[in-house]
Amino acid sequence: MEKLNKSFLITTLVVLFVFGSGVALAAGPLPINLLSAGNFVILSKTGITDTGSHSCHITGNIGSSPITAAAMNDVFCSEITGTIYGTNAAYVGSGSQVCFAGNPPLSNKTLVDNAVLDMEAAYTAAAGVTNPTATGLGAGNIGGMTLAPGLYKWNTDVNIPTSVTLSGGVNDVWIFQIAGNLNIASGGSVPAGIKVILSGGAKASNVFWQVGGVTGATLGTYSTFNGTILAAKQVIIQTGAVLNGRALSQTQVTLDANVVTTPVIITPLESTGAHEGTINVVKIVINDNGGTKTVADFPLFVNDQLVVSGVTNTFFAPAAVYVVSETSNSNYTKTFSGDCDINGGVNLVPGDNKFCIITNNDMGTVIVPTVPPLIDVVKVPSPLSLPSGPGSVTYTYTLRNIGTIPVTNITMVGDSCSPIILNSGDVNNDSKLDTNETWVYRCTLTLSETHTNTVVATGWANGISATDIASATVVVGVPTIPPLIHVSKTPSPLTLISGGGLVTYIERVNNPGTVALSNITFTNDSCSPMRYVSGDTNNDSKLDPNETWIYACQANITKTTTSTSIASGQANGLTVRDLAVATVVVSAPGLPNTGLHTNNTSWIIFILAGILALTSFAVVLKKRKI
Amino acid sequence: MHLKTLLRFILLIVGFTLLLIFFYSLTEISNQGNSIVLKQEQPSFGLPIRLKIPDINVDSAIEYTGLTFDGIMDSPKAIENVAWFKLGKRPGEKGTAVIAGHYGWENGEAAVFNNLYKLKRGDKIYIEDDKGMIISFVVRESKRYDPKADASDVFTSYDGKSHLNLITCIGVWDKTAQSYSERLVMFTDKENDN
Repeated sequence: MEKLNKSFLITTLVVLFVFGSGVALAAGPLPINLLSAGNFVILSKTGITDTGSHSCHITGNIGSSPITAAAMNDVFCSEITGTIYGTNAAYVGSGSQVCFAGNPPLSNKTLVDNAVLDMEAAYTAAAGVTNPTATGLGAGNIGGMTLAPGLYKWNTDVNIPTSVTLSGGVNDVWIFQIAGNLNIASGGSVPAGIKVILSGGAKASNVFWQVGGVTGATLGTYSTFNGTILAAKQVIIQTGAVLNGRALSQTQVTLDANVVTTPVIITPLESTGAHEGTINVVKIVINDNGGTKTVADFPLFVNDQLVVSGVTNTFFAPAAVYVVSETSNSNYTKTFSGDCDINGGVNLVPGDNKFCIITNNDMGTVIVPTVPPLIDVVKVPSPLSLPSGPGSVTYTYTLRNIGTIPVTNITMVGDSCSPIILNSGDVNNDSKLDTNETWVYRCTLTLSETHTNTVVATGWANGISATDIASATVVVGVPTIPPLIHVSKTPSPLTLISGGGLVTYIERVNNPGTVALSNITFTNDSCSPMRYVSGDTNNDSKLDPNETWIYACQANITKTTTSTSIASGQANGLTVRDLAVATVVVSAPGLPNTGLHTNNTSWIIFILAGILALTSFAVVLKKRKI
Repeated sequence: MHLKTLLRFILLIVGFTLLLIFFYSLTEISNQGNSIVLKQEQPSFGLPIRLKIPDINVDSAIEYTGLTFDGIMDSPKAIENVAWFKLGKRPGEKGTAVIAGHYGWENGEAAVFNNLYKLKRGDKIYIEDDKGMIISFVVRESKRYDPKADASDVFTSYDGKSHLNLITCIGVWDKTAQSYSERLVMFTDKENDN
């Protein structure tokens, strides 16, 4: 954390130095979050018409929902670098359907359905932005103007009869709220056409045109338009017009020999990112008091749906809080950690991959201080991305024993790739993950879309389960290299005698990927503050692929504790996370057996009995002699 | 003649028995004769080497012990010795130190804590450490436990003070379990512990 504070300070100083004041780096309102609609360059609800010569150049994905995919037949595969997503299988096009992704499988329909929902949400968000920089500017005629970043609002149509300039920096944002229609005038050629000009580094991805009029937005012939159009009605792109942005229409989009290019794509395409998220419930069982239960003895639920430990489950998002629960056992305590709150509640927003860890600790009367197991798993996909489309990916899982005792009953549960095959590592073939062993597993999968794959490794020792989780995203269809992050945790000591004591958590964060990670954050739910120790060898505040950052923290642990650490970082517009889970056992010894089996009473009785017997014997003999 | 030999033999046995009883008594008397020398306490505590409880004639060497494979505190090897739980606190340190001793007889010799149950509130207990310091404790209370009970309060304290708890067996001998039916714990507090 000190490291983060340091980098924040440096960044702040640099900003002050460059700009000479404390003003915010970006001007204008916040950009509109397009959610999964941002994965599309053209999106509509009633179809996409392509008149004329079928000579468009579309870069990016297009789709239409709820209408039949046949409503996009006008767009030929020869016109698009990207995918046409449909709600059914009715797309015919020119006869070639190589660019088409329809239903079945259902996931394609889900993807475009969700994108349309997100488009509508983005329209509403854009229309709802308040505090305009100007209202009714130019009585709706902005031709010839140069506009600074800001929110501009009209209750009328907006016309652009001559070129308009948007001047600002790369992070500056423009939002245009237009209650009427938007028209940019026609010209005779692209060079001579009317333009929305970006200057000073302004980016089309930061320009939003919300158009509420009944006709919608009309881009005149050979005009050049920049920005995302969010239209309540149609978007008409006339002959030869160039759109550098997105046409997101709640009716139809009309094309004719246009060049339509999406701004730089940084959001990968993932069906679960639209209106879905995932929850993976992971069970840990601690039998340090004589208990014998296993993971299967505690049925797990998300709301009322039965789930299996370690298996990723998809749920609608965003939604009210999901509640993770289990069939409890009165002899075991129950503790939630990871992304769950203390009652098992977990929030889910689209694209989330949440992990909820439930630890059950037995409450029997036999106290057995014992050493818990500790394992660590890393997952690396190869390749990390499939920019040219669907293909095969091989995941390599490296499982290590980072504790002090052998671990048995190893299971690897993957959410999509199967079978996960042990490739090497059990050198003595005893089926135990020994402390000096590294087991390597592999699994191969064909991916047709961007996917985040999760594996949950579990092992047992001394009646206690250990688990670790690894996730990796493979990007399909766009040239984005996804980052990877990995965290491992070793508490010392692993076992404490009653009362507890100081435990030092050493946590190592490294980057198994190929791109440097920024904005590293790190938390341990049982210890704070996590203190950065070392690792950023080139002091660039980025977790480079060859670096391992070490954090340390001390906590006074008074009872058996399963702690969860979460590390996260960002690169290429993606945020990645990894979790590490470790148990420290605190228990009182049993009372000693200090009893001796021969007691004083029996010894004296033995002697006295002996004397009595001998005396009686002597008396008898004497009497006989007499 | 034969009877005479037999009577001599009986007399020999009786004499031997009386001799044993005599030596046993001598041991008891010699224990009572031990004197305790108090030394000034220091803030740092060494390793305990001797336990002295004048009220029950205990003056015993201290072994160091840990856990058995079953996770219970180990017992002293010799019946005349006591064992300090070396994974816990040292006597005199803040927290709870624990010492165990045997109960019963072996080859006619009494175990060190046979009379532990006789201690009463206010009785003194002394620990001598390897630095030559004597640390004194005062009996607060005694409790009996099932052998498998949660003994957290025997090994742990949270009042920031120094305690020494003495453990032995008590109750009925269970042949099958090779164990007495209960454990006796004498809870003591460091004297003048502010």
